[in-house]
Amino acid sequence: MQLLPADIDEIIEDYGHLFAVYPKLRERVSIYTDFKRTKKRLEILFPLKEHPFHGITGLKI
Amino acid sequence: MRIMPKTILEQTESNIEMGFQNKNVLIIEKETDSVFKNIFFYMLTLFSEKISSIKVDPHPFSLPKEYLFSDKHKKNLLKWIKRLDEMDHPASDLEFGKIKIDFEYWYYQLGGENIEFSYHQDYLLTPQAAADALGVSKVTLSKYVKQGLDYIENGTHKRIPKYTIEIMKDPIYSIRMQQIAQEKKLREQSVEERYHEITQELADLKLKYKKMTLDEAFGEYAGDNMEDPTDYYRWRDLEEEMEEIFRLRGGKEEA
Repeated sequence: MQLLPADIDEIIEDYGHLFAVYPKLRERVSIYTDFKRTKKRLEILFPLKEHPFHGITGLKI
Repeated sequence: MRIMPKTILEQTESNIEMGFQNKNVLIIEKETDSVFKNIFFYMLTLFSEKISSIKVDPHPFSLPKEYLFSDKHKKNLLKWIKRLDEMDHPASDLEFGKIKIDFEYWYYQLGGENIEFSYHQDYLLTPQAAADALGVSKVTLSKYVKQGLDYIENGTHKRIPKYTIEIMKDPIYSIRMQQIAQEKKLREQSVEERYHEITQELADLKLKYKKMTLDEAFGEYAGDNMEDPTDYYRWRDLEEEMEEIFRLRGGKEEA
């Protein structure tokens, strides 16, 4: 059985309102969405809106 | 400024409703064709200061019946009619980009093979100008281009249409733009091309970690306890895919 990749349309519809990108956060550092799909992998980076407590999550700066 | 008379749009809408109710293939095919051609025409007219041409392959769509009468198709058709009703001039780069991406996405959903947009010279940015506008280095920009940030080949140079800058700042449409490009690449890429790409990506990982093998770079797999397992999975999957291609071509795996 082949596992099908996640349904991007559905994820966008359900959680799209939580996404945010960060252009020009610092000198030459911006955070945009990353999408990478091959026959074997689906890799997506969804940057999220700034959390009131945790801040901008998933960033390594 | 309204670009299409409301009465015509309403008529199209009620034809679609009727076609779906009566499961009439001809009506739905005809209305799909008409909505598609209308958007095509209006894009060329409304965005003529940005686009110089749109090329599509000349084969008519042949939609399978299950798709033709699917909720998804109906929803798309009605959404486009609403879009046609709202299309306005002048449109910002962001609005243009959204319509362009949605149209491209829909075109491939309908089974189209290739759609290509050409732009006027003054609507194109050099990679350096695009990198500056996005606040990233040229290296990062090349990564985005590889992942599907729209570009055109201008002789030996790459040029970036201006709308992509606004689209990258929209988290949803930037995913869509990359998705369209990569799915298209997956359809068109030969096994050999993919093999060379994997070789390059593995070489990059080896250089990054200054190690020749996955084991040397990561030791034992430690699941969620690893600080950042992304590259571990990337490396592992690339090797697996490489072996699969190798086997497919009748080669022997390395001992």
